[in-house]
Amino acid sequence: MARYLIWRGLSVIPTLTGITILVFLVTYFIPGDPARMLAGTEAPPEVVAGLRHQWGLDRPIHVRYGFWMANIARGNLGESYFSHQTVLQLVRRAFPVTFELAMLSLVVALLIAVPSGILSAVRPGSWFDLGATAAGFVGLSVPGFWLGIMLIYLFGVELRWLPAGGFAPLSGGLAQNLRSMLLPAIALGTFASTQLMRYLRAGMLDVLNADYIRTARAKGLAAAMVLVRHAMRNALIPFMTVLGVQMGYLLGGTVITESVFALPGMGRLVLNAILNRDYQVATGIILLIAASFVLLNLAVDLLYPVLDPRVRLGRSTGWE
Amino acid sequence: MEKRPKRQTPSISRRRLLAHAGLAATAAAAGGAPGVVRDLLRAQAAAQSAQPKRGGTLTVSQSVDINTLHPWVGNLNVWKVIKTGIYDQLSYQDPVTFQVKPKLAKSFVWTDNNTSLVIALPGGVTFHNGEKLTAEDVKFTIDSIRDPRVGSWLRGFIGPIKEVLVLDETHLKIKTSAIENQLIPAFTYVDIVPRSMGTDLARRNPIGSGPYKFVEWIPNDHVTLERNPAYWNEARAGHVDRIVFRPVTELQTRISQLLAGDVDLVYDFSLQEVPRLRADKSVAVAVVPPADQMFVVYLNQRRPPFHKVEMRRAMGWALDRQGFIKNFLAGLGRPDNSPFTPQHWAFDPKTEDAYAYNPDTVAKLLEQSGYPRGRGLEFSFLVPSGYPEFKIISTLLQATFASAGYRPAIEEVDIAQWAARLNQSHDFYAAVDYPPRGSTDPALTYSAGLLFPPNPANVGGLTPETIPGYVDELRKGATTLDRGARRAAYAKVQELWLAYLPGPIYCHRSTAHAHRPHVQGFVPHPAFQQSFADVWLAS
Repeated sequence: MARYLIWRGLSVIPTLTGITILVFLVTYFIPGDPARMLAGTEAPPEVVAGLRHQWGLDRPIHVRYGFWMANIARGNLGESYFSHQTVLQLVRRAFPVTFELAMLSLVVALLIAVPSGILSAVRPGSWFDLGATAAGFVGLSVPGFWLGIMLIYLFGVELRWLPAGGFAPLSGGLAQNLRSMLLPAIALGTFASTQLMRYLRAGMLDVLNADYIRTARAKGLAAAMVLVRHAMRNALIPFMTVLGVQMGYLLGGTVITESVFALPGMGRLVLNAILNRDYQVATGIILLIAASFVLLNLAVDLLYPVLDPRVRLGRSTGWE
Repeated sequence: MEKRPKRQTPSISRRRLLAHAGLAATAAAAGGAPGVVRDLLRAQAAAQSAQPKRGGTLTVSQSVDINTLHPWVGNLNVWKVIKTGIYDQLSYQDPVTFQVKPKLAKSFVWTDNNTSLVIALPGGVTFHNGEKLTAEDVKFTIDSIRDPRVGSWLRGFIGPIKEVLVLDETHLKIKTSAIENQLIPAFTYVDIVPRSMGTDLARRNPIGSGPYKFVEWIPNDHVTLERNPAYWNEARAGHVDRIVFRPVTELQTRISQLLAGDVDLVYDFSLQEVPRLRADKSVAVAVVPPADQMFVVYLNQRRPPFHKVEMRRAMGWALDRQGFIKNFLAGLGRPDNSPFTPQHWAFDPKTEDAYAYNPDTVAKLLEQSGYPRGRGLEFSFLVPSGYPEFKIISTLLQATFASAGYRPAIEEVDIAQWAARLNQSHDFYAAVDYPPRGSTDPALTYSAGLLFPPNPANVGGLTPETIPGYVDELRKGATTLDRGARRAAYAKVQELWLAYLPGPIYCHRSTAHAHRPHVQGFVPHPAFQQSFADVWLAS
């Protein structure tokens, strides 16, 4: 158990180092120039060269990587060439928006996925199961931006129940904040729910056909008890893995939803940074997103011992 | 019984009448559709007929976020729209007549045998931080922009300036070698900053002397301005208390927010949405006549095939301008071969039919260039993603060349790569763009931008020697005040341009804006140097 935890914890270090190299190289080799993006196409060459020198962009790649890593080691992820705000300042403002969106989307996704996944598994082949599966396929196929625009049009323009995009910060009141986040959460959560539902249904089906469930039923346990205590707990293990991955996607993959709903979150921040070639912000944020992805997966892996006694007791689970 | 309010007798002053007449003539001369004329008249009438109210918050939606707070470095249109209200500029371009007039400056006078421009400033102007604005601040601003270390894209705009001298607190002298007609229009872009701020302006909150003060910029969320109650010029003082600019990248969201009443004004959106919004009674559409932005194609003459004039001319004949305007600009454009439209004094009528759509001529020119039926021909169009009109024009041109035997590829890259390949590596054959400044003084039109040589950002690689006499005519037009002589010089410039065709100019496009009916007094600016000072909220 301890060996597993240490091994899993240490595996994060080379992963994160590899990510820094990859992120830096990718941004370095993308054609484009932040100085040209800021100064514009009409700026004379000497003006662009001056900006490049000011920002150290005329230095060799290894020197730039060295500076970047040294700054990261000091907790400084850099500063935007454009706004001159530090990456941490920008992230501090944008992350809560994305985090809130991800959490609310997750709630929406779970509210849809858990009951429908369980009911589909309990009554496989039923009308409900077929309907939920079909709805899942539709949910997977519908582009997020289209669903977002339709939601805005219906609830924002036609019915006027909710704002047609934009973000209301929590400081302006919880109700306003939730009103501004509801449509984006539905748009993002609907997509996430389809995958979660399919995994939960498949997991539940596997478990419900297992011998120990038959034994539990034979012992005369109530159906609800069998479902909740025996089936769901085991079906949750693969579901948790998918949930961790989905959470990572929700935190890092909200670009389209944030753009459609005009939310000042991480997705838009990183997209703008990439489009403007604001290398410091782009690399800093991608690194943070990758790190959060890695750490979330680590957290999920560390949760296994809680959910699976075989891991807790050091028995083979396929990991060791 | 409720008394019906007494109907106000409409009255119109001589000044307003002239403005209306000038506006109608402007729009009509621009070839504007009746809708454009109606929109402009409505906007102008609203700006002038009712009694403006003070107060309220105006929420403006823009297509992207600003990328810097530096007044001289940032060159995005969204930033121009915001900063024009924060700062004062020495001159401004009238949004209706397109004439350049003094703004902060009281007067511009050429003296010293036409080698100095004396600028008079008003007294009693203060910056938002309480400092007094003097000629020293104007000198500091101009000198800083001329300094290449500052990184201002405007450096070329004021390139002819040799020295700036302060005569007294309200007068300064700009030394040049001759009259330079580009300077006064270039000053419309120059934001005057207090010298105590230094030049590292991207790290500081903007301090200007304009009718609106900067409050905050939350990246990707909003920029907020508030009314400057101590603005020095009462006639240009702001009416609304606050202006909030919101960047909303998704076009349909922007329009939905307007229709839902979540924003008051959508600034600059796709022309294809104009018919739909015009049909909606809950919003008003303001369209600027096609005059400033022109669709062009940059041709790289450093490499084959566009080093040959026949190939460049083939490109001139390859676009169905009318079809493009009708189908993709909602009719809100004007086919042209010149940077100017007929409303402009420098417009040369001979350019009207110089090039039109003719696939047969394209085929013949390919043959004359040594590429019969496109054999041996190799070129492509470089298109930035997110600019659908550029891609549409490239696709139409591609189809014309395909009908003549060669189908050029369309390479779509992001805007940063597009800019780098155009300006730095020159790794392109042909690229569509819509450069501005067709409505300003031709001295500025031809001295800045990517299209017209000779200037450092000349992307096509054309040297002054390529077109004999071209640079001499440009200088003639730029350095005399005689309107007749200038008109003749620029007519020659346009003639030479069309003969050598370094970059075909296809048409001008309108720009469109929409607002809720309670937004009054909004007159859109052709070059995005937008003033919101006249805007007020009816309820």
